[in-house]
Amino acid sequence: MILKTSKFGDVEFDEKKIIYFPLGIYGFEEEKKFVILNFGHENFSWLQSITNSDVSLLITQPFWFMPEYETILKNNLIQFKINPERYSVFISTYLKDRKIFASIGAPFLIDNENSIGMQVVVNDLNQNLTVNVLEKLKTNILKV
Amino acid sequence: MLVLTRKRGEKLIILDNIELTIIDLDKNKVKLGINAPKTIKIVRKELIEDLSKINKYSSQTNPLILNDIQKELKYFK
Repeated sequence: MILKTSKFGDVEFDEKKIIYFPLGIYGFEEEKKFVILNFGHENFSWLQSITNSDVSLLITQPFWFMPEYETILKNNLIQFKINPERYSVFISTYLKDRKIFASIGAPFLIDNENSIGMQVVVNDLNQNLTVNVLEKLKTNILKV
Repeated sequence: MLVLTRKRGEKLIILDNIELTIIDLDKNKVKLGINAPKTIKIVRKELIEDLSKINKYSSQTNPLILNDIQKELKYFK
């Protein structure tokens, strides 16, 4: 199928890859159907709405720059009895002053078995909602 | 909107299994205690507003600027 997008023009996508967010995502509650698009940006993808060509969030997986996020997530989601292996985790990311900020406070969890997604709030995160990706990478390199 | 008056120590029940207690009151602050099943999501409204803003910024990302910044990231791998 062809999808019209504001950022990338007409894009070919596989209908089977549609991810359904029953509750939408924060800020875009009306958008329920998305696909993940890749344009060769290493570590980064786009969460593109099927129904609104303007809505496409820059997303990344958190573990490559913040390995400790796995534990944070595990401890947090234990209450939902979620099996982490069944889910893909992405977080929304934005650029400001040539820095990359990742929103670790509210990851997108995508159930790989039924392609249903939700944006969940990570409670008792004793830090800011966002982290500077480059700073985090540097700190983790120094630790090793 | 339903408006109720409660005193310190008094409680409210929502949906049979969410218990709200007025723990303490101040001039412009109220301390609430919430007993609810772990699957009930409770967040401050400001947090939702912040998360909405972040998603909107994220959707405004210019892919060309990302190309540039990614070159800098390569030095750390």
